[in-house]
This record gives sequence, C-alpha cells and structure tokens, in this order.
Amino acid sequence: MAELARFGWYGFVVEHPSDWAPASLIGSRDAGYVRLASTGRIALQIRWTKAKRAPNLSDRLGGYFRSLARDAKKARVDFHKETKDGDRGTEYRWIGAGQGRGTVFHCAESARVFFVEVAGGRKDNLLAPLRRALDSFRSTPETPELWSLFDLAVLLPGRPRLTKRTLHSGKVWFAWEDRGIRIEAGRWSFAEQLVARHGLEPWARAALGFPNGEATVEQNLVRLRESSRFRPREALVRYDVAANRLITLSVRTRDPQRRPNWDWLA
Amino acid sequence: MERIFPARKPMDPKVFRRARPVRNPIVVAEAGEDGVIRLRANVAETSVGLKARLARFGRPLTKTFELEEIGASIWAMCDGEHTVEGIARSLRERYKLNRIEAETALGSFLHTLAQRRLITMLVPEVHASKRR
Repeated sequence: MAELARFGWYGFVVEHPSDWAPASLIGSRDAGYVRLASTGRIALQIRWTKAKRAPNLSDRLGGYFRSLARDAKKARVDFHKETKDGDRGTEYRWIGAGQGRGTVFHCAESARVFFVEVAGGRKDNLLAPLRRALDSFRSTPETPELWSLFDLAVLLPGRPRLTKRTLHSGKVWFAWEDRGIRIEAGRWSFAEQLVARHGLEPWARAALGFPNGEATVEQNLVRLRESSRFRPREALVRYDVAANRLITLSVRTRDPQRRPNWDWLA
Repeated sequence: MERIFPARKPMDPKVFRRARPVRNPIVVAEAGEDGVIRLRANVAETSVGLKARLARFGRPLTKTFELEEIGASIWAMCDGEHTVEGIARSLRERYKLNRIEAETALGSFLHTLAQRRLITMLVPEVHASKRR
C-alpha cells in the first residue's frame, strides 16, 4: 500500500498517497478549491463554500452538474450523472469528458458545504481513492489548526488567514495573519548542503532576517529572538536530518500567550 | 499569413519524462573542488564564421559554465542512458525531495542546459514518428 501524507488547509485535513501533490490551491476559509494530483490522471478535488444552515444539497449538485454538462457538450461527448443518499451526504457520480465520483455534505461544525471528489479518466477506478479520502477527511473548528502540504506541517493558533505563499522547488514558504499576529513558515530542501556550506545558525539568521537578536542553539534546533518594543519577533528552526529538510517558523506578536513553541512544528 | 515554420509546441510531459538527455560532445568537463565541475565549450568549433568574428573582436573562443554539486550529479547522468524520470528518481532518493519538486527543478535545469546547447534531448521513438 502506498505511503500516505496529510494535507491540511483552512481547517480541514485529508490523507492522500505521498506521491500526490497539490496542483491547485484557490480561495479562502469561506470558499475555495483544492486539487491534489497523482502522477497519472486521477486527482482528488475538494470544493467548499460557506453555509451556516444545511442547504439543499441537490441544488448545489445541480449547479455543478450543469457546468460539467457544458464541458461535455464542448468536448462532444455524452454526459451521465447519478446521485444517491449516503451516510455522510449525497453521493454522486458523473461521466462526461472524464469521470468523477464524490460526496457533497454539510459540515455543521465548520459551517461549510464540502464537495470531496476523485476525478480521472473514463476507465479509471475511483472508488478506492475516494473511500480513502472520505474516511480520512476531517473538518473541525478546533484550534490549533493543522496546515500541512509539500512536506511542511505546522499547527497554528486561532483562525489565521493565508496572505502570501511561495512555492519553489527547494523552498516552500507561507505567511498568515490574524489579529495581532503574523506567522511565517517555510520548508527548505537540500538541508545537508545548506548546513555544510553556511552552518545552521548563520543560515537561520540569514534566511529569516535576524542579523542580530539572541540565539539559542541545541543540536539541530535553533531559537532566535529579537526584542522590539512594538512587535517582538521570535523564530524556530529545525534541521530534520533524516528528511534532509529545514523547517522554519517565525512569529511576530506582542501577545506572550502566542509565542511559538516546538509543538507548532507538527 | 501562413507560417513557414510551424510554432514549436512544448514537449508533452509524458514524453519529456521518457526522454534521455545527452551531453554535447564538444563540451569538456573539469572536476573542481567540493564536487563542483567546470564545463568548457569551444564555441568556435560550431562555426568557422563565428570563430573569425570572435577573433576579430578579441572575444574568447570558449565559454565556461560552473555547476555546483547537485548540478554536477545531474550532468553525470546526462549520458543518453538515463531517462529524465530516472534522473528525477535518483534526485528524490539522494536529496529526499518530493516528486513535484524533483521533477520541476530537474526540468528547469535541463531546459537551461539545452538552451545553452550543453545537452540535447533524445526523445522516444513513438514521439519522433508522430512528429514526422
């Protein structure tokens, strides 16, 4: 069986085979779309929209089917759809230019409607990957919230809003903001080469912009602290030797309760 | 107006994964320190006219490129035997990269090498016959 990885984004978590990767990340906490692509044609798609009360799921599906039918018409292929009530919500299947199987359901805890769907070619078997995705899918308003993708996993307090992101090969970096706090987290590959060339602490200072500040170094962990009257900053750096990665977390806040600790690096 | 030469299409990712990069034989590699290698390409060998023009303006007849450790390991595998997919797999294992990361970084690096004419790509026969 393939090794699994966790994908965590805006309060929901789902497991996927480790060789699948996010190919599309759109939207906010209220509405968005994520596509996790395999090496072949199969992909897991998750759509969500805000809904305080349980909506009519058939209506939501109807709109989705209409757009799929339009695509099928453009591709000059027939479009078929099936729906049935399931344990979690409404299960559906469509066959058009491709094929998709999914479930649409309302999550009362997070007040959102989710479409969890596995799409692929007309002859692909989608049931097993869909079951695995649905079994592992969790959406809760709990805090801290797990954000996990591209081998970077962090547990963040509150309901942060993603403001910036950098997805480069060798460097993945995200920035979030919430009331009175700014958080940045990054994952760097080629750690062995970077540490051999620069040393762990000098690299951490340069990469996170801490030219001065106090540093505490313990084996493969570095904590940097910069006192400022207005917005003090603190950063954690972990050198993961086995995975050849450097994980960084930098927090700027005046709230002493929200100072970062090592548990934030999930 | 009809184009005389059709626009070049980007290579299908599936075909690209099966392609085999091969080094340009005029490029000479010299080992440096810390796994770095220096590539020397005698640009004058490619054209007599170019050689004369370079000599006239006092420009060097060779171009030198330096590849650091990771680039050097990829260069070593550009032997016409390893496929792009195989090189990416090797990078993933050696540097613990994820699939997308390894493939993107490798694709971009090979593209740069090809642009500088340091390598060329041998594409699978199926693709070659389709293009004809």
